[in-house]
Amino acid sequence: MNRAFNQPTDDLPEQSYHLAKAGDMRALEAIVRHHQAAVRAWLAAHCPLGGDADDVAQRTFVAAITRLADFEVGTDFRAWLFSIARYQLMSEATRLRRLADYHSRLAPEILARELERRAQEPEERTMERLMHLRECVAAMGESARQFIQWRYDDQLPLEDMAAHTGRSVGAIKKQLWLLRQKLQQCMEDKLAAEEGGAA
Amino acid sequence: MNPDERFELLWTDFLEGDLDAEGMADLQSLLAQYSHLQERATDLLQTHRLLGFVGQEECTSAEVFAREVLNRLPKTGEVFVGAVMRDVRPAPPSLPRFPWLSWRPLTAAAAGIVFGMLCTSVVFGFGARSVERVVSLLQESFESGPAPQVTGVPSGPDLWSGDYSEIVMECEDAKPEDGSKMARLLRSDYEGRTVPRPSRQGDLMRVLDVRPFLTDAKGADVVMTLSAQFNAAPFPDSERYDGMVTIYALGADAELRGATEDSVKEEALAFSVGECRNVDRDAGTWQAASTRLLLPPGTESVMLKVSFRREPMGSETLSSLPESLTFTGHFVDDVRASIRMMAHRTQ
Repeated sequence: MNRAFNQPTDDLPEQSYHLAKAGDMRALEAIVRHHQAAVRAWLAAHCPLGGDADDVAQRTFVAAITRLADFEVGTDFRAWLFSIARYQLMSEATRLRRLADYHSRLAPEILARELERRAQEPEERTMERLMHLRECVAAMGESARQFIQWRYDDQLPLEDMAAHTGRSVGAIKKQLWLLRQKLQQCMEDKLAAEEGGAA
Repeated sequence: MNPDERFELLWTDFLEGDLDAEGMADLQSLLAQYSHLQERATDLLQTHRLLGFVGQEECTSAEVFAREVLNRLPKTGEVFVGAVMRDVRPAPPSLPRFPWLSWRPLTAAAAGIVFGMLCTSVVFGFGARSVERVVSLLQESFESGPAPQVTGVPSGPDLWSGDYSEIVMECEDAKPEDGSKMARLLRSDYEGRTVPRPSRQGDLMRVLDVRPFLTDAKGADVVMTLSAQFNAAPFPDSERYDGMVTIYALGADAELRGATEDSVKEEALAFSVGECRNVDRDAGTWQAASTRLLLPPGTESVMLKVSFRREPMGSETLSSLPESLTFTGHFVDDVRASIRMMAHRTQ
């Protein structure tokens, strides 16, 4: 589990931000490295379909660095960074909406709207989901994990997965649907248990 | 078939890029009619993307990401952040997404060149930015293999060739950026050079066959990235050097045997240049240059070039510089090339 996802507050020393504001490249790099996973994961979950989440993440950091003089050391850097990420995300959504056939070709409009709505929710929610997702994948059986690895790590085409397993492409699609459902349910159970425990 | 069963079929096709226009309209209609499916679809989409993020984390590590961000910072001299950029060392230009810098007509006769496959390592990953595959084509730190040839443009794949150079270990107080060896550029000309024009840059070049990857891409966008690290031992204050990386996309007609850099540039389908301006005089620091190129249709191979170029300073002009240069201590290391295939699966 990546500890950066569980940090409600920023544990980088304030000195890092002072040094970065003074132009220290090592401090800047340390700040980017410290916050990148949270920003990238959040953008991966909320970026409009057809958008480029890592590109938006990079633009977020570039915008933050260029405005670093505006950041007040001692306040919440992560909150400030996410406000920039939200703005960059809105810009990306606007850019994509201007594509003439965007909704008919890439993204059902309702889905795009729902993603935008969720982008206004606290970013911690995404981090919790990611943490639980890792746990759920780790808890899967070996065969199921193999499918997930083929699909998401190795990016194997469905035809190759079918050839590896001696099954039809249709059967592979069905298997992926079931695995995604299972992971979704596992995450939701964990989130519910967490909320129940907190109540 | 009830709506949930219909959604199951459509949704998997949607994620796998197999949904046609009719299917998309069907999915839109289902989502519009059933609010529980809207919620479900968004949940599943976000989980799908987080799985992708987890899958590609190793591919784009924190270190790589941070480096890419710092490379995108505006160059000094532009309207920018005063305090931060005052102390920033010269950075390579920001990376455009699709730098179609130059299109060239296909002019060469068909050559039918067959190159070997040069994939030194392969990394597959899911890009959070989109569904994609990243293939590392080259990671060169000059630790093994023959020394670069000094005969100008390589006559074939899988070898370094260019201007006079040598492979060295720690040298002139410069330590290799990666491993125990690095390339040192010695002169701005090569053995048997007959081109009458002056040359103020030293180059190392390498050709890669990209056909297997472009075939595999099946029509997806293919973006090549090239980066290299540059270093120089102290040189006179009156001199200025830039580090450069260049990608040339070459079609089937490109003829390399007997080619010069000018002819390669003329025949290239497209090319892209990245610079690290004003390489510093501190042998203890390395500076990066990088560039990207969206490979045009018809690309069969690429020629990668890493160079040190002398630039005029102050009142100097290009014509006042020596026609041929001897470099006193200019080093290149950690040359990396990869391609990213942006597939058409739903991200």
